[in-house]
Amino acid sequence: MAQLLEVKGLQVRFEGEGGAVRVVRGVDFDLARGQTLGIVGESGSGKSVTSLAVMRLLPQPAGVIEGGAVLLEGCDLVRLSRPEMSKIRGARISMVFQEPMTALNPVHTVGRQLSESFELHRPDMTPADVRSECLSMLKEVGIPDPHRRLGEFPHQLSGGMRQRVMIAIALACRPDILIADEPTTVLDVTIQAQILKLIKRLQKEHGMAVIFITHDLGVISEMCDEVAVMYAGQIVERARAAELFESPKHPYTKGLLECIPRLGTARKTVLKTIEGMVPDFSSLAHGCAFENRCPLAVSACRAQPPALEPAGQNRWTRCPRWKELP
Amino acid sequence: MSEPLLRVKNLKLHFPVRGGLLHFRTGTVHAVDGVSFDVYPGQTVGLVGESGCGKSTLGKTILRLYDPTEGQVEFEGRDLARLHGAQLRRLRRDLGIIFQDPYESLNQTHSVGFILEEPFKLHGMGTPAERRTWAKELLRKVGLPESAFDRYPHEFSGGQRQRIGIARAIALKPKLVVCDEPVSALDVSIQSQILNLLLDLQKELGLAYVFIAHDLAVVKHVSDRIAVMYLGKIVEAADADGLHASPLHPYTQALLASIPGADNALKIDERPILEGEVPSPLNPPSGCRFHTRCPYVQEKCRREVPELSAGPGVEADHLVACHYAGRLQPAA
Repeated sequence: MAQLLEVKGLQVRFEGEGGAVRVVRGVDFDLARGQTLGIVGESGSGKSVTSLAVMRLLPQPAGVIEGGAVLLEGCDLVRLSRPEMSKIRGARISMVFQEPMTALNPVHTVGRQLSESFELHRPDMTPADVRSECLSMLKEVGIPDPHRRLGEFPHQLSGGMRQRVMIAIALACRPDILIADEPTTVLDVTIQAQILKLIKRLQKEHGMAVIFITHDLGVISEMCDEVAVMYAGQIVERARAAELFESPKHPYTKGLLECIPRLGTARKTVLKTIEGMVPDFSSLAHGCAFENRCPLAVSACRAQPPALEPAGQNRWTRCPRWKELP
Repeated sequence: MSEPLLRVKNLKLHFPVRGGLLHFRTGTVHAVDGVSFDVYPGQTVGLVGESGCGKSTLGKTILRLYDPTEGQVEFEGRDLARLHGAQLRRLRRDLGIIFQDPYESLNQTHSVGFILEEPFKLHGMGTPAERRTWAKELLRKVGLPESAFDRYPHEFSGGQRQRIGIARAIALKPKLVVCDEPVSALDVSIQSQILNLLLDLQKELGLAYVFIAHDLAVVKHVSDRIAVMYLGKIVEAADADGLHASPLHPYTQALLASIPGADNALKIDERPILEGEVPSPLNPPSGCRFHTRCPYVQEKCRREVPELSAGPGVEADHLVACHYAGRLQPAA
């Protein structure tokens, strides 16, 4: 099947006071229509920067796409001019952010912010059409009393309602791809469940592809077909979600899965840990970035940066020693 | 079992809401509204619930960081709510607190050494040389190098800062530590390190914890007993394993079903998920506070407040506040 989105060798650099730091170091993935890809990683793994680069929303002028391509049905988004990219953003690829309070504009009503997508991408619509579309979008994302909500400001809504509004704005023009960057992290668990359920339903109805960025492996297991695990700016493992949870093929993934307490874990037992910390980007080792925390590390790991290699059908790992994982 | 270390009895904390030109009282937030529970020495009681349920306020009221509106907080038989001055200060040595955000709870302008010596200074303990030794000993206990003594909080990562916060909390060898979401700001690989540290310290020092968190799996891992809160009240309290094996309150059941990845067989869009949102504590619903969202609501629930009492068909110390616990029928 032809891929909807192909990201090839993406590299992103941030220019800072202390010099340039490369935070995305060669990321490849692809996404087919209607599929859900999960990108999971801890803070500083480069997962959000990757999604911002795909959207061409890197903070300017610090964030620079150094290399690679982002192909949307063959068209390289990296090479598009800003006005050309504006036509794609919101219409073909949309994004939902973690914190709906900062992503929404506090001085405009919900209706104004929602109708903006239509005004930008569908100039042929009359104001009456726009209003009725806005109402039906709010209904679709499960907002009660949509007529009243259209005239309200973001601060008058609860966190869950704001995130529903964000989703309505993102989906207004029926994009092919929705990028959801930690959309439920700040929400309470029962509200999180509602939003996850909503995204799943809308995905089924609209047939869109979703890139789900999160640090929560539980969310990945609920939402995703395929998973890419990121560490220090690289994908270290890619697999079908069920297979990844069943038998991780990278020591980092395995460590991550084991250190989370689950409801089934015996109480007050010692949890497994990944010792040490995520390395600082400005002082990355030449070899494997996980080497200093890895239980399998040998001296060869320090010498040679490992490549993403096949580890079975449709799965890859960035660890040459994956066969030795217990 | 021995005498409880901490006994919370019918504790209430109401915040006045003021408004208008003359700043009159226009309402009351019922943050904590009649909560009772016991904590035994060396035991962990977990408090879970969603934002606004009053769990953090309850934790702070136990330490008398807020003055309770009503009710008692008895620590070793003495009512904390009625102590003042030197007596209160003396008792506070036995109490500690660990905050959620290690970035905000440490003073950035003081060195780690200063931060760790401060509790001893405030209580007039030791000579400067002794305090220095004690502070270094604390660093070792929480797994930080001695070199951390002369450094400043901003030089440390989130996990290390939380270790500093823990070192400060256990400085005076307290008997009870309130942990207010101690790991929710941390990455998962760091989270397990901190949980292990808290469990080790509990064993070593015989600490009792009141562990406040919204993550049920984390709370279950560290707790002996768990109390589930909703809008200022405890709706269910039981032994940690018993609560998960047979949750009786519809809210507890819903919380468990909402955990992502909780059920391998049914995905989240196939499980029954709680509708609606938590109502405002400014104007809590009549009767059972959960009745506006409860899938099993009956007429009685709207009128009568259910008491927290022993649940049917479970251990005697498994308490639940639901008129229909054990015989829930979908609402008509």
